[in-house]
Amino acid sequence: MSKKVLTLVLAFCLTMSLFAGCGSSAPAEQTQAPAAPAANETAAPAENVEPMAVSLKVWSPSEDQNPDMGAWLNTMCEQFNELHPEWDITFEYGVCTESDAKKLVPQDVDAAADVFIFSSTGMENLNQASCLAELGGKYLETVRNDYPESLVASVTYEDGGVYGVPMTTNTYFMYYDKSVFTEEDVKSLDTMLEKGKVAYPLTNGFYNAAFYIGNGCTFFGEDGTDRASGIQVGGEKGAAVTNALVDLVKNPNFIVAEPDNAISMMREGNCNAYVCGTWQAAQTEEILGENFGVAMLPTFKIDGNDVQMRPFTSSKAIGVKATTAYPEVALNLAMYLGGYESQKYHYETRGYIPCENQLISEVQDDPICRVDSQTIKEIAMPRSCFAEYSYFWTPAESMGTEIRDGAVTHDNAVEKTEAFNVAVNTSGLN
Amino acid sequence: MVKEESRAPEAKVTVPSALKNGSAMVALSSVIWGWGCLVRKQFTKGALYLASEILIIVYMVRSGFYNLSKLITLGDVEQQKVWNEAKSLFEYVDGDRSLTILLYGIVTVAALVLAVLLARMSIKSAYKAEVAFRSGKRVPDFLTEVRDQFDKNLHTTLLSLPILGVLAFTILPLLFMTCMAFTNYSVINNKLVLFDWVGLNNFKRMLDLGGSLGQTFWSVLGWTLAWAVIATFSNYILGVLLSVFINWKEIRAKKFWRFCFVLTVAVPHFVTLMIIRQMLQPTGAVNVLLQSLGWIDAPLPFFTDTTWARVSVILISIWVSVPYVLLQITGILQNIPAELYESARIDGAGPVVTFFKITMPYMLFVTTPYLITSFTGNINNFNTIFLTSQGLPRAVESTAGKTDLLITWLYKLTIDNQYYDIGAVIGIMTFVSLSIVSLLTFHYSGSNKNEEGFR
Repeated sequence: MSKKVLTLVLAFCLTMSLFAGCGSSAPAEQTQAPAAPAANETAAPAENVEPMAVSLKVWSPSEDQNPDMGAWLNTMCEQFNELHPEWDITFEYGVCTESDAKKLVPQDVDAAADVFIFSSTGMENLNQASCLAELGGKYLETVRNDYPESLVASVTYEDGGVYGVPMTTNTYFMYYDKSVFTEEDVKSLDTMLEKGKVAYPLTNGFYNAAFYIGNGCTFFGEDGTDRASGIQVGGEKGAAVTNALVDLVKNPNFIVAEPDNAISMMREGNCNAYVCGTWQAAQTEEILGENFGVAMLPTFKIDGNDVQMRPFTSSKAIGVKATTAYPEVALNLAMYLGGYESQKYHYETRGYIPCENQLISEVQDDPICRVDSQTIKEIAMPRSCFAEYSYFWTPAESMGTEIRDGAVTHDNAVEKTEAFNVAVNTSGLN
Repeated sequence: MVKEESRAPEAKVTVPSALKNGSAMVALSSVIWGWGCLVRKQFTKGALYLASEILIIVYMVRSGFYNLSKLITLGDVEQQKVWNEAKSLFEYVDGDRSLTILLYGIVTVAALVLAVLLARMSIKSAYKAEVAFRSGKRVPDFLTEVRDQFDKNLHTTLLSLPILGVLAFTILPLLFMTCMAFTNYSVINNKLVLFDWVGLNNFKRMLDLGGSLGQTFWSVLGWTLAWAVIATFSNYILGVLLSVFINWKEIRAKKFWRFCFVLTVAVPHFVTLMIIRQMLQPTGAVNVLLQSLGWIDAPLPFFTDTTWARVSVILISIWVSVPYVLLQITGILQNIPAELYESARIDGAGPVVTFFKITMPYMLFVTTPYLITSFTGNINNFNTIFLTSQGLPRAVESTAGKTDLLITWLYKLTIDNQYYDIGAVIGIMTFVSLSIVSLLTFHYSGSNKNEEGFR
């Protein structure tokens, strides 16, 4: 009998130990936080003088956490922690690219990061899911003072609120081989095609829109803020561009390739110029060495007239989760990550173009920064965060592919452009 | 004699009969679970039933009823924000999120179903205990019943865990995803956080040939079925021919030939398909080679012309699948009784006649279930399409390409575009078309009609 009792007792203990795992678990870091300094004991009036244990989750692209590339995020967060002795912050880092943030953060808001980097074009998705905290009071003032107007406008939502701290710009330009093209040549695409090979990602809507916008097609109005007018890539202007593109792809020196393929081709000598943002600048400079040249997008010819290509521009910003447990700490961290020190380090380690007023004036020696500012000031088209932009990408890819493959000819250019115009304004699921 | 009588209560007990033949104790067991067991001194069992009832009631009171009430509207409270002047920031209070409401609602419904099942079990146990009591037999105590579970009733014990697993990890998530098809959970109209029930609206749109969605759906469905049939049969026939050929007596070094053909299996599918995609691009290896040899002027439109793309994809599928078929069929071939071939040869039949009269019928009979599985697999053959042609070529006005299957189209709509409601509908329609074809084929096939014997 005693054996049976013993078995039952043991089984019971085992079962109870299983349940010990359940129950709320406070983050281990909080219970193991080192003893707060003596100042803790005095009852301070305002909360931001009291030292407290804080746990923050921060997301960024993996390169920003890579020790070989300077570990920007980790470095900056540790510096922030040292600058604020009143908080004892434990960071939990996660990987999320800027363009994925608009999908990943709303997916499971409770598990999402408190501070993350997002592309300004995803702001509407994030706001519709009520994920972003609005900046107000002293934070808003700092943002308005320290950053150029175009950047602040990119993080301002329709309701007038500012929802992020600008971190860098996001546009694209042309990298070229100086030994093949002169500075005058790169002003016109046709001149370039006579002298060397140019690679362009025609099948990517982000890039092929530059042709259409250049000729006067509008994306939500002239400045991109008029939602009701939709995307207008049809009519005479659109058809003219399509016809010009049909001829362009027949040129053997015009290669349709994505930036990552183009750079391999450049390495092998099969390509002398290509179009991309800042993210491949360092590699290109490595390949071309002294012959590294960067310039704004060129002009192209429609019916003998020169038309300036106009790229999209947007920004990357640092956002704070609305329902974060530590709003004050998170906001201050976001301001710091977008501040002078942080942007400077980001520029030095990853070549991210600074957008903080003081820093901008300091980096004008860099040709890439110069071209970036010039592009944004003179030719770029601001890309707003409207959710309707999501209808654009698939038809744009199809259109670029059909032009490349010859499915679009001079005979059907007008119809195809009209079909394109219809497709980019609907989801295609009606 | 006594043993015969005591066997009787172990016959099938149904709830209606239990309620009819049992006393008031049994009826009470439907409300207070375990009552009937407790009254007959089955204390442990009764206590367990009672404990589970209390747990479920507590759950329902604490969150169950709330979840169910929210499930009807799927939530409509938006996030609130308050300005905190002292800290110079906004403070947010979270609103409803329809997806979590849907999830908790389904879990609560599952809990209710569990409650009904437990109530039924309680009634049956009460009845069984009562019958045992009345017939004078000793009412089994808890330890005896547990021992029985590992002895006489081992089948229920062993099956219960897998069934629970399937219910919890397959059925419940499936139900959750299927419910999305009846809502408007999509990025369109800002329905990602708070969405509503729309009933059969999505299905109507999907089947309506008048709208762009319906037209795309029917054309993709047509190609999916055509692809599945062509891919399955081409793989099968070529695999059979190849293995029969290698198996001929006259062929030497059989193992070597088989090794060669099966070598492609060594390379992971993923890698093979991606390499093939790169090779067949307009600027890929094949086109560059042919152009430099001077055989062609313009690149061959492998993935840019509709017919070329469809044929390319089928050929790629053959390249990737024939080795597997070869392996299967070789085993079956070697199983065909040699006497059949002997007698055929004596009768003067040549190889072709032997193939059609003996080999093929036997093969078809044995591999019909495999063919159906293969057909099912091909309808959902994501890798072969997505990693090679990526569904291209795609017209500018369409959301689906000419080589898109239902499943690759679904992937594009959900992962790239976030139209989750339509994605769920496509998933259901795929399942429906797949099950209709599979069931019909299996019903009419020889394997089903004559499971035991061949011929």
